Amino acid sequence: MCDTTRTSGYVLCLLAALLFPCLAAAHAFPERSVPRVGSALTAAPKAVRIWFDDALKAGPSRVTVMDSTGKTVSKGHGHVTGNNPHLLKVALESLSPGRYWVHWTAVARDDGDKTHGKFPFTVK
Amino acid sequence: MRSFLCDKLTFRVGVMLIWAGFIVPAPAFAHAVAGMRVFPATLSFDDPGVANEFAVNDGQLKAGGATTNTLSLAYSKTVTRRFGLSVASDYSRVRQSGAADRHGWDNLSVGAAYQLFVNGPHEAIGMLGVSDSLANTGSADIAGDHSTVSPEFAFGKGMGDLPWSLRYLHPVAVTGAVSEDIPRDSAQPRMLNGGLSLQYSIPYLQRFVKDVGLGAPFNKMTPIVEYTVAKCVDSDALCRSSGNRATTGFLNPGVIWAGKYFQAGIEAQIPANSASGDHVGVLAGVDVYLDDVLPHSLGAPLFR
Repeated sequence: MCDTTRTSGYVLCLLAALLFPCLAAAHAFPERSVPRVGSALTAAPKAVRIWFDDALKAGPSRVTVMDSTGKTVSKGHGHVTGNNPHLLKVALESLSPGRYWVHWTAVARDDGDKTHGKFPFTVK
Repeated sequence: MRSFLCDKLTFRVGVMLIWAGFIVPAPAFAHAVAGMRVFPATLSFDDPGVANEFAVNDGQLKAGGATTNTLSLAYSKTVTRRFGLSVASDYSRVRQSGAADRHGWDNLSVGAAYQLFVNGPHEAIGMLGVSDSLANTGSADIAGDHSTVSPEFAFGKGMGDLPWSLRYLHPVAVTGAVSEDIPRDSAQPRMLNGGLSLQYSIPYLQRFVKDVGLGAPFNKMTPIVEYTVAKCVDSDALCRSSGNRATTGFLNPGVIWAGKYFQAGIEAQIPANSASGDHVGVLAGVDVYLDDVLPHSLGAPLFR
């Protein structure tokens, strides 16, 4: 009797889960970037571009670049480009030699799932 | 009487877990993601994430003159972002010279899992779960005639918080799981199960440390070594009479490829001792990430 009740309960829960459409739960992660992660450049880049594996929400997705002291060297917080929702881009100030950290936050367009990360590059 | 009480207890715990899942505020995650770390699903034990996934594993083992092929199917569904339910079963075929082949479904297993913690900066994640294999829901040739409750704790920890001078160790992660099988039949022994994995994520290396220029398919691969162990923790007499006196284990080196919509993995299964077998087996599996494949229906939690 109890086994039957318990099994029926599980089955009902699973059926409800299967039939109830709701929101998405996808995560966006970088596919590639320019400059490349961990690269050492002889010429200072003018911008950072990161291509993601998911379309991004324009407002909250952002990218900033900091030098080794934590000073922001990017012009603003970047933006998702209009013609490619997978591309996050930010322009840079004139960079002197040193290590820089790219901090990004990606919010998936479909469901608002947020991921974040950071990676370095060096200007020689 | 004991069985009835256990059933009532399981039911009440289940109801409490469901309500806990509904009312606790949850951060955003679906697969086993903690900060910059994605933990792929391990093939031989549970990963520490609560997710929407459909998993198919196929394995072959030879031990004691018997060859066992097992096809495992599992479906996991989130109710909230922190709480999920699952259902699973195995189809096994056992061949042994001098005996008739045995084949059929094992008992149906249902489970619940709760995402205990996620620490993004330290890439740490923990999951608490319980599963119950339901008596007499499988084939008479394969399945036992008793239910078994298995509470479990699973965890993952990435090394991305190590100093930058150790940056090439940042892609390293460990995951593990500990569970105990508690049969409702007192003639069956309690078993303690452990799993541990050591993995090196090439996606993590190229996304966050250094893009070394590896292209497809290597850019989404994670070389991994899994270790599993099973030990009888009941009375010596019961362990001996049930044929579980010796501790068994396997060392499984392999690789997991994880894409946007699914992952596929293959591992060798090397017996850790003579009681575990006398041949190297193989284990292969595919996990479909329903979160990404069907983000607005099967891949979505019931409540956000």
